[in-house]
Amino acid sequence: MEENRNYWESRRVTRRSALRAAGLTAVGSAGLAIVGCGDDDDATSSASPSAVSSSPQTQPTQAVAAKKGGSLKVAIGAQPDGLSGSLNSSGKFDTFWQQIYNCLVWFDENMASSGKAAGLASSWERTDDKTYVFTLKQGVTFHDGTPFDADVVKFNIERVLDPKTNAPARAQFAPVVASVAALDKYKVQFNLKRADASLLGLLADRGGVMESPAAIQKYGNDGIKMNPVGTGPFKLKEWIKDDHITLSRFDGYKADGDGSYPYLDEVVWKVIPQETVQVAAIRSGDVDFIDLPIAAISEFKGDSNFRVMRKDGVGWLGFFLNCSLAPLDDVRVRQAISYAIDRDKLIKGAYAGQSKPSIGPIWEALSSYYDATLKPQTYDKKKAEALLQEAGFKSGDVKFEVSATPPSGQAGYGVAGEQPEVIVQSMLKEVGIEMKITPVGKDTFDRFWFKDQNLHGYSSGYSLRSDPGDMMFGAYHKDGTYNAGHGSGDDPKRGRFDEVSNLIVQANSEYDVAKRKSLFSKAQQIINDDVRSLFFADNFRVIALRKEFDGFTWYGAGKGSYRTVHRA
Amino acid sequence: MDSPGTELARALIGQCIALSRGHVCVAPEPRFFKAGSGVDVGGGTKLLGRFVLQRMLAAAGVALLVSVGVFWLVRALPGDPVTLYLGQSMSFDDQTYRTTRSQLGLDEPLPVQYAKWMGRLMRADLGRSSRGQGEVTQAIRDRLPVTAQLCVAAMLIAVLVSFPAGTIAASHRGGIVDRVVTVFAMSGVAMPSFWLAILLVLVFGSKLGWFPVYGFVPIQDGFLEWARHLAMPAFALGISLAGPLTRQVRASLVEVLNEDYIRTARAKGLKRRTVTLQHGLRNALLPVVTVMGLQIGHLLGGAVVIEQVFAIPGMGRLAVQSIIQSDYAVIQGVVLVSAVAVVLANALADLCYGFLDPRVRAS
Repeated sequence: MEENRNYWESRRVTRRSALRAAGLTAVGSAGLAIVGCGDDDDATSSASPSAVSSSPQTQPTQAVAAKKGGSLKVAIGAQPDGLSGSLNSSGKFDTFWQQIYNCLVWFDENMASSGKAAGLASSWERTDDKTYVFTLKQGVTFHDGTPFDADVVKFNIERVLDPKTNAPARAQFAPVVASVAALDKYKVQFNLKRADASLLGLLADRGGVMESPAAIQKYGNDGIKMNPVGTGPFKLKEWIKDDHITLSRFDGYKADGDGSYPYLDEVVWKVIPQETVQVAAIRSGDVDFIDLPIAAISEFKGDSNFRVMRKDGVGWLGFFLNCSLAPLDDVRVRQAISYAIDRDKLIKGAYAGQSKPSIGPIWEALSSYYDATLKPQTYDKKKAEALLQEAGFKSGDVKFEVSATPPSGQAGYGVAGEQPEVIVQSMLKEVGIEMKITPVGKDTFDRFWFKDQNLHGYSSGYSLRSDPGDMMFGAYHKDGTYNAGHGSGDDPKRGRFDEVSNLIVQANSEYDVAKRKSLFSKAQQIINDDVRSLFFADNFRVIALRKEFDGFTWYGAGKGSYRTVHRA
Repeated sequence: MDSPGTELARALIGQCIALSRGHVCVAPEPRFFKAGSGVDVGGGTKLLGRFVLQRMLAAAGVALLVSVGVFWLVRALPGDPVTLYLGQSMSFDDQTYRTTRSQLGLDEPLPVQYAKWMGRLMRADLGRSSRGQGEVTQAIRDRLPVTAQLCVAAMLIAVLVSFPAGTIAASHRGGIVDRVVTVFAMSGVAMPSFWLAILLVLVFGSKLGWFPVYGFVPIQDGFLEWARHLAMPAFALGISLAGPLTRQVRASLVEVLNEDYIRTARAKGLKRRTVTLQHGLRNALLPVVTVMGLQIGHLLGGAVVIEQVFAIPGMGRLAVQSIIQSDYAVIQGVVLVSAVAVVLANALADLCYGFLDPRVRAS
């Protein structure tokens, strides 16, 4: 007779087997809890954020002793679409083109502009309110041998102004620059449509990138993205999509350094999407340089195998708000939202306590315009409730929607711990405000925010630039592209839009830095008080570099430069 | 008479329904064999050719259905590829928007876009990426071999783990060894592959330094480096497949080992090992091969995650990037190629039946 081999019938659960199984489960769970997924306790015990930094480097260390050679492997989370500076559509990828190109003007590590910095102009003169004359550095050539001169500058600026080029910087340049003329081989004149003190900042950004005209003619507007040719310290050697980008040293680099640098033979950007793997890769020596995830900062700062460098004030983190979309068109509602947010708690929860509250839109790293005396947005739950009552809203009446994009854990780009939007949502709930978080893809967001303008807000910030004019105009002037809703007029119920716009226009046409700073400060105070944006925290960047290398600097508005990196 | 693959699939579906009701999985009863029937194997080549042709036609049919589906679905997704292409600042004007939309071919009616795309497909031209990936055909041609190597290695690991484990479990059914193997098999199923992948990176890559933590090296650049780079990703992906395979090997073998001919073989004095492996396992393989074919889709899906974690430049990474960037041409190409690959892999599984079971060849 055949034995019954039914698997299910042969499994009988007895009391003994059930107790045994329960005991094993309990022991296993206890073991997991002990070993566990414990987070950094370091975050709560860390000292003030600035304690992390290594000695700040104001100039390359041991430049005389540094030898040429070496290959620096840098981990990156994503590769750019293209390497052309003028066609780069996202500030996130500025680090890439800044190694290959020079702009007409550049700012040093202390955000001071001069001919000594790595710009292609050795000096400039403002002959009147609407005219600048730039004297160019001589002997500079592109990677393909094309000489750099005034005709090249004229070609590049006119290319940016040409609608067919689709250069992102055209929106900033077109209202400012009327024409460019080559006065002689190394002198170029900019004729402006209006007095505009932000011109130097614009020329130190994507609009001022100098690309080889011969390369543009050879490869075309699309092709130049994959075949960048600049005057920068490194040139493109190889690009294997989704794998790595290799730059090799340009021995003819003349924009700064008098030929003493760059030192490295190569910079290799390796695409490693996962932050955990990036950290593992630098520990194992597979890469030499990473942007540190916030959660790993404390672990690396005490490790002598790495140089950890921090740059504070490279942006602000918070919400952009559409101040024309109800209920955010009522200034009391916006103020109530701001008062309901405990920024210290938010920073602890979202940024592992590694930052400090932001006091306004202009960045701390831009010391010539940063105003530490501004009255920041603060936390006051009672005031929040009182304002809502005054505005006639009961608990649950105020509802709005913000967009959020998936966070990364790297300092300067994202979070460690909870997403700030989620923390804000729970804080607002305590005062009876409902905030919906809608994660949307980037292209969908662009349409909602810029074109349709039907989103109340989005979680982001604005990263450091060489000049505040473009950011202030774009985000807070009634015609600014970032200013969804384009609120105008001055109304105690809605806010002082015209007053802010006028202050920004005045500041941008004022060349005296002290007066300009004063005007921007007045505008910032109104922006804070009217809660045109919600400011949460100062953005910062922390990098780790293996000790075999040295010489990294924060050139390029906090983006960093490898041109002085050398083997230690 | 249905093809062997269809018979087995129908039998498996029936068994799974039975399993859900608490009944054991049994191997399909071999209905083709008649003792002493003198099976006619003449005309086998013609049959094979007809079989291959049928499968190719089936693949073409699936590709057509998938092409329609992915074409329409991609365009139904929220997002505007033109906006993404032109950049975040929306500083372009309407004229620029219209021009770019026309350049990308998105201003034509959808049926016209589809017809043009299908026309190019007949020439093996999958179009051009709008986000810097170049020709889609070339992009896929560069990445498909990488993903294929990862999937084949993962399948190999799954087979190397599941076959011995399932065989040992079946041979010691009901005992402690059987239960341990079952627990490990279920763990493999329950463990998320991305979690396992990161664990492997931290332990074997970072801590012990035995394997590189990321990347891919082509085999022509050195077999050892190729194997070292592929080991952890293939293991992370293969383990998730080993669980169900182990269970299937065990279940099929248990039923086969209950057959009369196994009892006869034992009674004739054959060694236990010979009986289990030569007579038992081979006959138990048919449903296992079916499950392996059905798991190809799971492998491709798992490869997407694994390629992201280990920074492997394969089809999975290409798919993720193209979806994030609303790169329609690339999404369409990747989905189409993946669907055809799954169909062909299952066809290959069907072909394997013939090698494993002479009765299938004869029929």
